[in-house]
Amino acid sequence: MSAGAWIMFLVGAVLLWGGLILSILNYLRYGRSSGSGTTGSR
Amino acid sequence: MTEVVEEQRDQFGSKLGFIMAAIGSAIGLGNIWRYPYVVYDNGGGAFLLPYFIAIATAGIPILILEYYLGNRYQGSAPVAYRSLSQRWEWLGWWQAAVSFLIGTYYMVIIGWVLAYFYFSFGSQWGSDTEAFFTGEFLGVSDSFWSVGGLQFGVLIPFVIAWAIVYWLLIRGVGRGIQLASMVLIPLMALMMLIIVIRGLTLPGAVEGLNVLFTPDFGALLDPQVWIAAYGQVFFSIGVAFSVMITYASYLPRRSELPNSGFIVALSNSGFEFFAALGVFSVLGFLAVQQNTQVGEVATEGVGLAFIAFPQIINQLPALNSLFGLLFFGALLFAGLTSAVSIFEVGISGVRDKFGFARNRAVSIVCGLAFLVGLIYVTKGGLYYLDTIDHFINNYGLVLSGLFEVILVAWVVRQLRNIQSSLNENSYIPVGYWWILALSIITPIILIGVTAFNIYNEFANPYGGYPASGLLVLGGGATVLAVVLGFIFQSLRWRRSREEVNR
Repeated sequence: MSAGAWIMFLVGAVLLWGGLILSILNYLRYGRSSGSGTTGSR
Repeated sequence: MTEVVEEQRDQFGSKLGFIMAAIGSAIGLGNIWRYPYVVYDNGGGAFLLPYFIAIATAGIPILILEYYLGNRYQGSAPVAYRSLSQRWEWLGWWQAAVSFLIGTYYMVIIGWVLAYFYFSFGSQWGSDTEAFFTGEFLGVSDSFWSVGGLQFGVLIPFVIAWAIVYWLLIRGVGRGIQLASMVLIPLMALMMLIIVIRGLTLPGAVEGLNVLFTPDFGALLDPQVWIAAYGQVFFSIGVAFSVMITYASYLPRRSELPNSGFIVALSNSGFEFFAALGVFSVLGFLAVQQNTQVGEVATEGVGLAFIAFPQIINQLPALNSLFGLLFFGALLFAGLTSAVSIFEVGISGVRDKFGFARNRAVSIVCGLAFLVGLIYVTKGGLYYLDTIDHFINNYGLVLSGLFEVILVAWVVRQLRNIQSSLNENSYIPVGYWWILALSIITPIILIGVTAFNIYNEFANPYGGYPASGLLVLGGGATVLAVVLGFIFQSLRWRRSREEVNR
């Protein structure tokens, strides 16, 4: 692939998949409870 | 007199179940067959910039708002909007009607996918895939108003698809919708992973990805590229369908919502970005096989799934049938989990307002949708589907989404209260960006998109179809959804607020 294509692919991958991984880690750390009470675990 | 049945409100079995169901709803056919071409057609890699901005300023903010409305008022969209302002119940019914109309033709497409899943055994579409699809399979009539009879090759998979969706919906939120999503979404992701790996190892894959990602930054000066980005995010995440309001109403009150919104929106966008790798690597392969440019074979939607992909499958060196099963299987699973969510909107609304038992509500909504869907199973069905899809998406969804943000931000002016409320239960604080996005950016963009669409309607009448067809079916379906909204608002509530929330 061209350098420009590589850069745009990497930007997309890092932002989308990186953001998704971070939000999943947040969920695993704090948010598995389905009800209220997430503030208590902060 | 109508029997009013008192049942407890359905609930997802777990937070994970809710997230998976919401992901299942968001990831649909469009993620696989629309997004890759939209990227290619709007500046390639440069499109990612407006796309990310659209996710941050429209997709995620509206998603979080809809989660809040459903969860706070513990009811379907009509209940939620009515709770905000008594006079705005119609907006919920409008969105439910739009979802219903979309669902009627979505089921036909799932039927096509199911048929092609079967045709994958031995590549039964033959060498001329276009002639097979429009001729032998759909039997498309010569002109718009030539309805023709029912096409039995389409009717059979359509009935099977409906049987599956009906069964899932009858089973309910936990044992139907949640279970289906927990099983089908990981399976679909696995199938797509195999498709992407196979695609990337084919000759020509690099050419395909080069065409997809090489940025044309000059395209960013074109307003149409920005409209395409917001349109993609809006339709893809599935806001303004009221699905997210409905699903969040099946969570316990005061659940954490913003991070779930991030997970669902980024899963949806991350998946379509991933799917684009597979789609364009195999399109690159097809271009090499046909000794042509990738741009010559790049396409989207029905043409991609039912004409180009069968061609690609025909050209593969080995395991052709397996590749077909994986591709159409992934489409099928993506479609089914979206279809159940689309119908759940109406089912939930009818149950809340009229107090019907679940089985009865499911049978009424699905039965009616099945009958309406039969018009797309005719020989003229492709014309009607294409026309109604264009109008109901561009006007029904976009305008009802516009009214939704205007109601919350400017009519009842509840954004600050909602922000505080969200932050009480969230470990990700919702900042001022959320209010700015919903009160200023999203309304301006949606007004701009609508103005552009209306202009375009006159400048380039859609699909080359006759004006009578566009007006009667396209305009008719769009207006019908609004009228249904007001009709349903005028009907008497059979259940009190307490009964709905029970």
